[in-house]
Amino acid sequence: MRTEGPAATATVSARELRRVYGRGHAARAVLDSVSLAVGPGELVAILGPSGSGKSTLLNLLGGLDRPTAGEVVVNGQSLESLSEAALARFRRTTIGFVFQSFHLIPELSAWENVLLPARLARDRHGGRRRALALVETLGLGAVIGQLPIDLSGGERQRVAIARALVMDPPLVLADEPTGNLDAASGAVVIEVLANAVTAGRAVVLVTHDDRLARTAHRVIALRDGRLE
Amino acid sequence: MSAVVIRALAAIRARPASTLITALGLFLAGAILGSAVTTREALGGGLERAQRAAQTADIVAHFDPVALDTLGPRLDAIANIADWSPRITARPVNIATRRADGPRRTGTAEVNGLLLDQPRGLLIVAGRGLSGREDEVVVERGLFTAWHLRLGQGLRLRGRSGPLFVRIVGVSIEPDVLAFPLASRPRIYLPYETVRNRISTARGRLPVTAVAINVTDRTRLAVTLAQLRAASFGLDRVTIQTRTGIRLAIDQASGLISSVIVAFAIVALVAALVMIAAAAYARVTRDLATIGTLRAIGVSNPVIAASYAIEVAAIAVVAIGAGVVAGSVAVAGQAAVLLESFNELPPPHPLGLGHALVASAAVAAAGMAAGAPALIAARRPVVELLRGAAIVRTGRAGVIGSPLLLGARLALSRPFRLAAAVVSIAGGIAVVLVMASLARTLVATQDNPQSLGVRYSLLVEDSPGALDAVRSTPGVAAAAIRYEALAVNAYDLGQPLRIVAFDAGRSGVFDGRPLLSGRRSLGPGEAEVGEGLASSLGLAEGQMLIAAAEGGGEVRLRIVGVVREPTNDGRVAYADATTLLAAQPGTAAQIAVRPTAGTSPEIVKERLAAQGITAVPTGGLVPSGASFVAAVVALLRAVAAVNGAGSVALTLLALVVLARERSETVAIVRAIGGSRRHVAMLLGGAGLVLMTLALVTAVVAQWLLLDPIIERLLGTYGVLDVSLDGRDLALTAVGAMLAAIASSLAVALRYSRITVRRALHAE
Ligand SMILES: Nc1ncnc2c1ncn2[C@@H]1O[C@H](COP(=O)(O)OP(=O)(O)O)[C@@H](O)[C@H]1O
Ligand SMILES: [Mg+2]
Repeated sequence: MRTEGPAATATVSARELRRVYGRGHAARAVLDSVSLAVGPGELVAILGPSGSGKSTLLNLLGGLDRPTAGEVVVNGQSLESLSEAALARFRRTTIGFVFQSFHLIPELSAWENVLLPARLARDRHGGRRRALALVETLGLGAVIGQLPIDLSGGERQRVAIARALVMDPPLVLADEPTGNLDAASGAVVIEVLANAVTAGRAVVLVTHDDRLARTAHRVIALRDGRLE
Repeated sequence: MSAVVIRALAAIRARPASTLITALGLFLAGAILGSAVTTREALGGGLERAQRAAQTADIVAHFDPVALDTLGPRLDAIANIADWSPRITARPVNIATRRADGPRRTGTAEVNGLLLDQPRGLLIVAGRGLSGREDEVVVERGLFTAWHLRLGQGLRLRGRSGPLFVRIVGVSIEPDVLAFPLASRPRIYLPYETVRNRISTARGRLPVTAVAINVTDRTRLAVTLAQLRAASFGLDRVTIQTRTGIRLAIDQASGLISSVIVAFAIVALVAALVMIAAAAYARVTRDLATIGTLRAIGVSNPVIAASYAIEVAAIAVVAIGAGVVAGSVAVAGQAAVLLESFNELPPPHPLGLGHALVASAAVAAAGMAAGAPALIAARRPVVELLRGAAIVRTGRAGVIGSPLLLGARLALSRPFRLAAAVVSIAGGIAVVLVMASLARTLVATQDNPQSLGVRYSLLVEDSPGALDAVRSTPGVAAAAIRYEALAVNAYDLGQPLRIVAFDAGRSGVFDGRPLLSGRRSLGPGEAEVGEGLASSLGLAEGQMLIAAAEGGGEVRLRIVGVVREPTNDGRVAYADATTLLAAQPGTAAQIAVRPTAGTSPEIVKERLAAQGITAVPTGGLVPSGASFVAAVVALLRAVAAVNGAGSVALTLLALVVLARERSETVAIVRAIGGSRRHVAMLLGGAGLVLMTLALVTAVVAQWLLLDPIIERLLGTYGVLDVSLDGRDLALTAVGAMLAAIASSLAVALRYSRITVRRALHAE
C-alpha cells in the first residue's frame, strides 16, 4: 500500500520531524521541522557540528526512537502506526543500522553477530549465503571466528556493517561509520556502502569524513536541530 | 573528603536502581540477622534475668506437711545455709471469677501460703506484694493473662469450710517453673495464715510444705545438698530442686530453639554475603574499563578496592540497620510469648549491644565482600583491564540455535560471572530448602510433641531378640539395644546414679545430650556424665567414676565428656554395653526405637504391636503438652518466615540484577529487529541455565555442607530432621524455574517498553 506524492517513490521520507528532550523548563527541541526524502540507489550524507541532532535524526528514521511530532515513512509504511512489536519485525527485514560505537554482542563471535538478524528472521540459508559474500567483500575472513573484544576498531565496524546488510534491507542507516577508523579501514567501509547504493539501496549516513561526504549524491547540513 | 569517598558517593547517586537493589538485598540480610539476635538474646538470658530479679533461691525443697518446729532446727544446723523461707502449699484448690466481672471462669490452682510479704523467688510484675491482710491474693502472670483478670478484681476460692473471697493486688512470676497454661495448674499466693486457717488440710502447729534456701558458698552446693538429704530423714515425698537444675531443664527447651535460629541465621547470612560478593563481582566486571582507567592514571589497587567497599558499606549502614530493626520486630512478639510461658523476663532493651555489634560486623562484611572482587580484578594487567576481557568462547563456531539456546550461550560465555551468580542463587535456594524441611519437621512436631528433643520415642522392653524385626518395621529410622542400671557411688551419700548403656559409641547417637566439655565417648570403658553428677562428685574429664551397680558388680568408667542432663538431677552416666554388662551381667536389655521424621510413634507402636512386640512411649525432654510446642513452633515459624522469605527475595533480586546486566544485549537484539518474544527467550535461556546450575549446586551444598553443619549445631538437641525431602525439592525446583522465567519476562517486558535508543544508553 503506497501513498501518492514524493513519498511514493522514496525509500524513506520524513515530514516536519520534531524531537523534544526533557520536560517543563528543561524541555529542548533537539530536532525541529526536518523534512527529507531519500530514494532507492541514493546516498545522502548528513553533516553538522557535534550536538546538532544528527544521531537523533538517524534514530528517528530507523524507528529506534519516536518523534515528538512529524512522521517517518519507510518503504511506504508509516512508522508512527506500528506497535513496538510490529516495528521490531519491520526493522528486522527493512532497515539495516550501523552504530557509531558498533554495539556488537560481546559474547558472540564476529560471524555469529553477522548472522544474528538472519537467525531472528528464520532465514538461515539465504542469510548464510549473503553473510559469506559480505565477509568476503569486507575482508573479514581471517577474524570471523573471534570475539568482538579480540577485534580492532576497524574490524568491529566492518562486522557491524556486515550485520546491517545481511538481510539485504532497502534502507541502510549509518552513524559516523568511519568516525573511529584509520584511513585504510575507512576506505573499505566507503566501498561497501557504495556497493549497497549501486545495488539499489537507500543509504543515509552521518559523517565528518570529507571522502565519505564526497561520494554522497546529496549532502544535508544540520545546525541546532534544523536543516540549513 | 578523599577522592575515593567522593567517587563512591557519586556512584551511589548515579545508579539509583542498582543502589536500591543492593539496599534491598542488604536489608533482607539484616532482617535475617536481626531476628536471630533478638531470639538469641531473649531466650539466652531470659531465665537468668528473671531469677536475678526474683532472687530465686539456690535450692527449693518440697515435701508433705511437716511442722515448722521440726524443720527449722534441722535447717539451722546446716552450716552453709544463709537463709531459708518456708511456705505452705495446698492443691488442687478450686478458684473462680465472680459473675459481676464478666464471663465466669473456673479452675483449680496451686495455693501458696507465704510467711513473708516479699518472699524470695517471687517477682511482682504488676500491682504489689501481699501486705498481710487476709483477703489479698497475688496471681501468676500466666493466669492473669489467660483469664483476662484485672488488678482489684475479686476471686472466689473453695476453702476448707465454705467459700473464701479474695482481691487481686498483684501479678507475679516465679522463675522456677513453667507458667500457666503450660504448667497444668496456675499458682496463686495468699498470706500464710489464710492458707493454714481457711484452706489447707494439714494438721499441727505451723505446718509447712516447702522451703526456699539460699546458701553462703555456692561452690559447696553439692555438700549442702547431701546434708539436706540427710536432714530430710523422716519427711515424706521430698523433692529437691536446685537453681542450676531448673536452668538445665529450661535451657534444654530454649537452647534448642536458640540453636535452630542461630544455625539458620548463619546459613542465611552466608548466602546473603555470597550474593553481595557476586553482585559486587558483576559490578566490577562491568567496570573493568573504569578500573583500568583509574590504574592508568596512577590510582593504587587498595584505593580502588576501598572505593568499591565504601560504596557498598555506605548503603549497608542504612539498609542493614533498618533490616536488623525490622527482623527484630518481626520475631520479638513470638519470643515474648515464649518467654512468658517460661516465666522469664525479656531483655531490658529490645535492641541492645548485640544488635549493634552484629549490624556493624555485617556492614564490614558487606564492604569487604564488595571490595574483594575489585581488589582481585585490579591486579590484572592494565591493558587487559582497559579491554574489559571476561568472556570465553562457547559453542561451535557459526552455530547459533534458537534465541533460547542463544541465551544459554550468553550465560555460559561468562563463566566467572555465571559461577558467582550460581553460587549466590544456590545459597538462597539452599536456605529455602532448609526452611521447607524445618517447616515440615515443625508440623510433625506439633502432631507429636514428644518428638521434640528426643532421639528415640519408643522403648521395647524384655525382648532383645526382636531387634531385627523392629528395624525392618516400616516407619522405624533406627533401633538399638539399650541397657539401664542404677548404681551408687561410695562418696555420694547414697543417692543413686543412673547408668545408660548402648553399644560402644552409640549413646551419642541415641541419647546425645548437649556436650558441655570434653568429647563423646567412643570406646569401652569411656563415659559421658551429666553435669549434676560431675559437680556433686567433683569429677572432670580424665578422672574415673567408680560405682557399685545394684547387682553388686563394680563399674569403672573413665570420664571423657560432661553433658547437660536434664533428668535425675543430672546424675546420669552414659557408658557402653560391654562395660555395664561386665559389671552386671543380668541387666535387662531394651530396644530404643527412633521413628522416621514425620512418622508418629503411635503408628510405629501399632505396627510393632501387630507383630506381637510391645513398645512404650518415652517422655520428651521438653515439657510435654501441645501448648508449649505451639509456642515453640510459632517462634520457629516466625524465624523461618523471615529467613525463607528473605532468601526468596534475595534470589529474585539476584535474577533481576543478572537480567539487568543484559540490557545492552537486549537493546541490540531489538535494534536489529528482535521481537519481544525473542528477547524473552534470550533472557529465559540465560535464566534457565543459571537456575538449573543453581539448583544442582544447592542440592549438593545442602547434602554435603548444610546438612552436616546443621546436624552438628543441632545434633546435641536430638531429632530435628532437616535432610532433603523429594517433595520439598520438587516444589522448590518448580518455584525456582518459575522465578527464573518470571524475572526474565519482567525484564524483557521492561526493556521492550522503553525505546531502543534509551535502552542502548541505559547503564
Ligand atoms: N536522551 C537524551 N536526553 C536529553 N538530551 C539528549 C538525549 N539524546 C541526545 N540529547 C541531546 O540532543 C542533542 C543532539 O544529540 P545528537 O543527536 O546525539 O547529536 P549529534 O549531532 O552529535 O549526533 C545533544 O545536545 C544531546 O545532548
Ligand atoms: Mg552523534
